[in-house]
Amino acid sequence: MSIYQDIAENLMEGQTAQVRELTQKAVDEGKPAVEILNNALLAGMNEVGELFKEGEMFVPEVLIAAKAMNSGMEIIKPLLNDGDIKKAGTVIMATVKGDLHDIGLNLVSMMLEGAGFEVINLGIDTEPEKIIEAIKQYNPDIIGMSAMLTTTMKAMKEAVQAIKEAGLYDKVKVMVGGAPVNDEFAQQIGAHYSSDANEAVEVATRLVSA
Amino acid sequence: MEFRSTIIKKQDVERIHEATLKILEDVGVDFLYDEVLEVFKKHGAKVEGHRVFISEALLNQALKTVPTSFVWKGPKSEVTIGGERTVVAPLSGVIEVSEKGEKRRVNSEDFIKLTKLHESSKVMDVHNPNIMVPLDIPEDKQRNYALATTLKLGTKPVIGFTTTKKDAVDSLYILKKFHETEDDCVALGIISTLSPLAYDKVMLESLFEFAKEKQPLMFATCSLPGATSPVTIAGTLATNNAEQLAGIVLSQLVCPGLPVIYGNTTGSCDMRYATPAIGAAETALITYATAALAQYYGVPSRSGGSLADSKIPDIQAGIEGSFTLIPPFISGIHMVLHSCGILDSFNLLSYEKYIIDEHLVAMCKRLAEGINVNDETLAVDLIKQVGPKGQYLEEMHTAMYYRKEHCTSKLFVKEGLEVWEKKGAKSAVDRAYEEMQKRLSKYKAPELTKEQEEFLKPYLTV
Repeated sequence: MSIYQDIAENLMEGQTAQVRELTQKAVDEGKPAVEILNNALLAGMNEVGELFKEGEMFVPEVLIAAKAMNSGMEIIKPLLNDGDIKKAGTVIMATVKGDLHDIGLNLVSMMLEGAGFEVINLGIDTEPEKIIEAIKQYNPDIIGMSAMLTTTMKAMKEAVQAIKEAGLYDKVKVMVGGAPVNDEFAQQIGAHYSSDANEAVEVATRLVSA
Repeated sequence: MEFRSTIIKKQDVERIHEATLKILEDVGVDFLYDEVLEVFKKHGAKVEGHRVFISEALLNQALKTVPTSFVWKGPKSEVTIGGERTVVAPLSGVIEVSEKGEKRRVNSEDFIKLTKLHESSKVMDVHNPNIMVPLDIPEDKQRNYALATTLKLGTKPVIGFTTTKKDAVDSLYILKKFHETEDDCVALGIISTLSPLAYDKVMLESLFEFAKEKQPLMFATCSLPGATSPVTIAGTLATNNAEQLAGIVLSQLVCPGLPVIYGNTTGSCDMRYATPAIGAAETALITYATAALAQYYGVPSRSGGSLADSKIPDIQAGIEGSFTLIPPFISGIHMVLHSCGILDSFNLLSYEKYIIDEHLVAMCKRLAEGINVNDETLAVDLIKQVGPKGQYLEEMHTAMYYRKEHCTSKLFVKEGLEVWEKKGAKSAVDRAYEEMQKRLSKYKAPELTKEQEEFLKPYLTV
């Protein structure tokens, strides 16, 4: 088995320590960082993505695989040139004001990271002002908002309104999700809806490539 | 003695046993085959006409020689009947099959299809050439064709035929020859009782043939409470038990030490029509009692599986099947016949239900496995590490234990409503059909030796 295959397989099993060690070994052997990235780390992660879509892998397994990938990334990052990493995009994630639920938020964040997005997670109970500030600071492609309660859905509407008023609505795509949210509501407030973490990755990928 | 089921108490088992002794001693059991009568006479039993009266002493003598477990070999795998594991076996004798809402009479094409599903199944442990009669094959060749086809397509242990004396002789010859063995158990003969309290000639002839070849037997009782046994569950159990024990005694007198199985798949009876009601709470009760009684006598036990009277794979079928498949696994029944696919009171196979029942088997096994409590599963260290308001999704512990601790299936709809709608709003039944097609397209026949192929050829040429 080639070392790339070895890394990819350990990555798929979520073996963080082994991926770190093997990646270091590959670097020490003089393997080009960009090859390690594409042929080992991304190859493994793409396979994970495929298996997840087919229902052969489960959420926790995808998440530990993503963790394992990051452990390898940390080693090769300093060795990569600009443009070697094709970042899918930048996403700011937040649970809206008044809502304290973050399992879904974190899940989508982690799944997006696994798909190559850079994610800035603002956490729960996020005021619109904080969202505006973050958009200005990070210049993201997407802002993703989550609400678990019917009562906090209106906070989503208000947040979108605030983004519009700040003149940032044209610069960023808005994504929403969470138990009470649906397509119709998302359209009403001018956002893109996804019904689970898997679909969120699909929608985000579509939005950045549009 | 400790029973795994709390549904039937020890003192109830003892009372059923006492009632059974009275039935065996005072009422008797009819054996409609003269050779049997000679066996019983030789062992000092009272015989009047075809009626045999069995004393407690003779019963106890016979029970002493029954093995508590035995190994049943197939071409490439084997099972232990009477061990810790519940062995999962196919349905038997359906008349029609259905898929996608269409119904048809059984034929060789469906025989092959279901056998391939059994072979590729992760839960099915054995094969059964009695699943259906390939009606498109000439009548005199149907049995041997079915058995040879099973051996051509499958690698798991195979049930034999008891439908006629010739069928029994042929199936014993084919199975022994194919396995190239004299001593191993490679066939299982199913001996049905003629409730109430009788055995017919064909079954008894087959019993003798299987005993001659030292091959295991399963006694199968399936009475209709209120019609072929008393309407009360206790009364039904008493007569069912007497039939079982009478057969087991005979087997041990003919061939001491012959492996046998105590098998009862009696259900309820719907008196609006006086027809079987197999998908019933009473079937479940009788299954619990069967496990307890067989354990009381030290004989391996067998029940029915996911049994349903519904005509389509609907919510009724789901409830009926769950009600009847959970008890064997909970009570520690050793073998489940008719495990997957049954509709219409044993008459109809639904392919979709077959696939769904496979998952039901997995769920039942998970249920019976119970809760694994140890330091690793209690995970106090992890709970400390994650702390209040943390989350467990990203933890290695979660990924490591998810598959071990949770039984999932792609068949059952668990995704959010909108995701499900977007994916075509397919029900578990729709998904089961797709899963079946996928399985069949991936099926690969086992490799046979040249000799085996040559041996099967004449039976397959019809």
